[in-house]
Amino acid sequence: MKKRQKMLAVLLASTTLAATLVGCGGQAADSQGSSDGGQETAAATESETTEEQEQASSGDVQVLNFYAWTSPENMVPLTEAFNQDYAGKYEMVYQKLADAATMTINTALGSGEPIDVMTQASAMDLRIRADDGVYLGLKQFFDKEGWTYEEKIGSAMEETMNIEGDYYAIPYCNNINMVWFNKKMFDEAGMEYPQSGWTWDDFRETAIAMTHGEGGDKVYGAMLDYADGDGDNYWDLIARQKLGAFTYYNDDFTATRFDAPEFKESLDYFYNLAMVDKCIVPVDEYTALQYHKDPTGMAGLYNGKYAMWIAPVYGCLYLNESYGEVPEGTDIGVVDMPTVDGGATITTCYTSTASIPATCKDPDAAWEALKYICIEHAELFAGPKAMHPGYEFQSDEERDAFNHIIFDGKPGLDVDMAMEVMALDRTLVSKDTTVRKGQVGINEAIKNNMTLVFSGEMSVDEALANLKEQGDAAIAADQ
Amino acid sequence: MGWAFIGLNLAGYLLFKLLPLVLAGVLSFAKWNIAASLDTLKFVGFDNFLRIFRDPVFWESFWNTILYAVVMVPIAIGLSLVLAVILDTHVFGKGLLRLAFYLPNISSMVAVSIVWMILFIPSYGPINSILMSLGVSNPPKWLNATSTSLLSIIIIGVWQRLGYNIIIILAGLQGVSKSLYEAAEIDGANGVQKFFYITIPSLTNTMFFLTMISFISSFQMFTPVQVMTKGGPGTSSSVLVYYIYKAAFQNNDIGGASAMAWILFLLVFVFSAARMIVSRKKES
Repeated sequence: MKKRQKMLAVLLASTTLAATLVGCGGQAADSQGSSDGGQETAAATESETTEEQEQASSGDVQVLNFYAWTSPENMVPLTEAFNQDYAGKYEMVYQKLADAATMTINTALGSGEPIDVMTQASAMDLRIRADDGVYLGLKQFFDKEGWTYEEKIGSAMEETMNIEGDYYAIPYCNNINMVWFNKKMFDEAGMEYPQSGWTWDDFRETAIAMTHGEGGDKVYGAMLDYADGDGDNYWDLIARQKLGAFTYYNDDFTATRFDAPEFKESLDYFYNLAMVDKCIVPVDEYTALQYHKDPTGMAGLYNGKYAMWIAPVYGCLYLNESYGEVPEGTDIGVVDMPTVDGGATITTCYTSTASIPATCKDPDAAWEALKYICIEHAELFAGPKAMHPGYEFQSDEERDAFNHIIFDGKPGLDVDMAMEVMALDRTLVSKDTTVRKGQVGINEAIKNNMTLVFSGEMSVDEALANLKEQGDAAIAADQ
Repeated sequence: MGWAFIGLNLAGYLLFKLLPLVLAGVLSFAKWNIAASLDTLKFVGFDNFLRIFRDPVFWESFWNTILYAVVMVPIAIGLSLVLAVILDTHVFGKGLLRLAFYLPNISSMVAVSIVWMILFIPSYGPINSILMSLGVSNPPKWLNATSTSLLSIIIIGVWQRLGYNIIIILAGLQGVSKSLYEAAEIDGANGVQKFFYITIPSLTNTMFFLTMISFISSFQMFTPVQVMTKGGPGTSSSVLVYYIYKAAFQNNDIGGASAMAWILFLLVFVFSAARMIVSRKKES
């Protein structure tokens, strides 16, 4: 009996060891393939990929690895078009990252994988990577093309992306904040649809008028993530509209400006909506029900939990059966963000960017891919994700064509209204900041203080005084 | 032959446990962006430690971790003991009840946390609805108040821990000789006396094991904070592992996170060492 047990133990140990060795051997073989320039494409099956890569590495075709977190099906138009346009020269291979988190991208960059183009959502991460020499400066390529960053991408973006005179990324998209609304709920309430050029007072009146019910059946006027609940951060919207880009910093970036009256006006406004009028979804409810996540945010709107939802344009991407039941007809409308005086429309936006790692073996080839993705064919990358390109449109026709890519075929969306609204003029204020001084501390201070304000444990004045003190201390510590 | 048996496990331990531990030790004295090459690694001496010792949020997270452990562990063990003794006797649906208590232990903590968030909604969540129907006019705001956010997480911790504790205590109860109870009955002892003078003393080893294991695992608590409160409101529910995660994975502060991880390691090490010393003394 004991002998049999011993034999069984030896057998199990040997099997485990053999399985591990085989597994590691398989990995090693794959890694070898990768270093030869071959890796799996998201669009193709593994066997097809290996076959393609063998073909690619055997000929003169150079494989360009593009890393992003977009779902693979949305990448097919881009990779197919690129590979057709550069047939015989380059082959773009898409590598899907798990998400856009700082560490996901850092570990990919630090892994030694042959990355030609890397994307990122955070401008702060971009700045840190640029400072640490992770990315190539792109000004050399703009110079070679005879372009300037400003004329190609736009002056507002140039201001944000200029890091000590060079550029380390190109925005591949621009996410413009809008107000989505449920037309059916407005019809039932006998209310006029909101129109561009409306004011924050109009927004408040509308939100109050659309709020009704009690407890779990309560319907709110609006939903927005105003306390930095892991999504966007809208408590400072009015301050951003009034103060412009780099909102948190003074002119020479030596201190914060949370003591400016615009911040008080902004925080007072959203505090009153949440805590006094109770006409926007409270923090505890939207974090528990996950309304601050875009797919559930849109679902909450079309399921009638609230009448208006402040979110980026790509919110319409979630009018999709795979995210649940979608509205019928054209129930979902869209309007520009309100402003303080109802004058020229000013709204906030933020970008995601793409860069070339400094370890890239062929920067010129990587530039071809980067240029294709961000500038020449943004409609193939940003478009399927319902995002606007990072550059400014050169003509109304170009704008309309792009907007059709974004809005067409979205069930429940009033496409005509969306096309009409997006054709209006608006000033964009970027929420991105590549200023590193104190930024981690400022963001932490905002998160900590805003959660206290919107749980009713801190006054607006106290929170802003804290933000000023903690933000200035963070900047001073980073000098 | 012995080496062949432990070889694989040893290799895994060295590669995936000991090496990262040593590397974290090195990084706690350095400043480095993981995305950059190793050439950019810069040793900064004790700067990371000095920086975190001056950070009030680190201390709040540290004391919250201790508070969570000190409150959660005794409550969970005490409650488990009572429930295990009840389940060990002839109660209706014993098997089903054991399963019900054990289920939280094997459920996904992320999913469970989301369900608890809904239960805790102050305005119309089921918990406050019950409290209000019982006449509580101003029920707690649970996760949304600095005074109750950590308490809410402790409640979830107790609920989640009960099943595991009950299974261990039930196993311990099987080793208590029935003759002791029979002798006590002959001597006229009642149920409470039997519990305090026979059951508890007989379970000393089991309780000691549970206490130590529970303390060690509660120092590493992370998921409910990450899913439900993000350490808030303010920093009222921040705990060490969450703060380490935030520093390393969100704020790119690998050095500071490694320094904090080493402090946490020392905390856990002290408890583990104490457990081993006491166990050996008992054995000898």
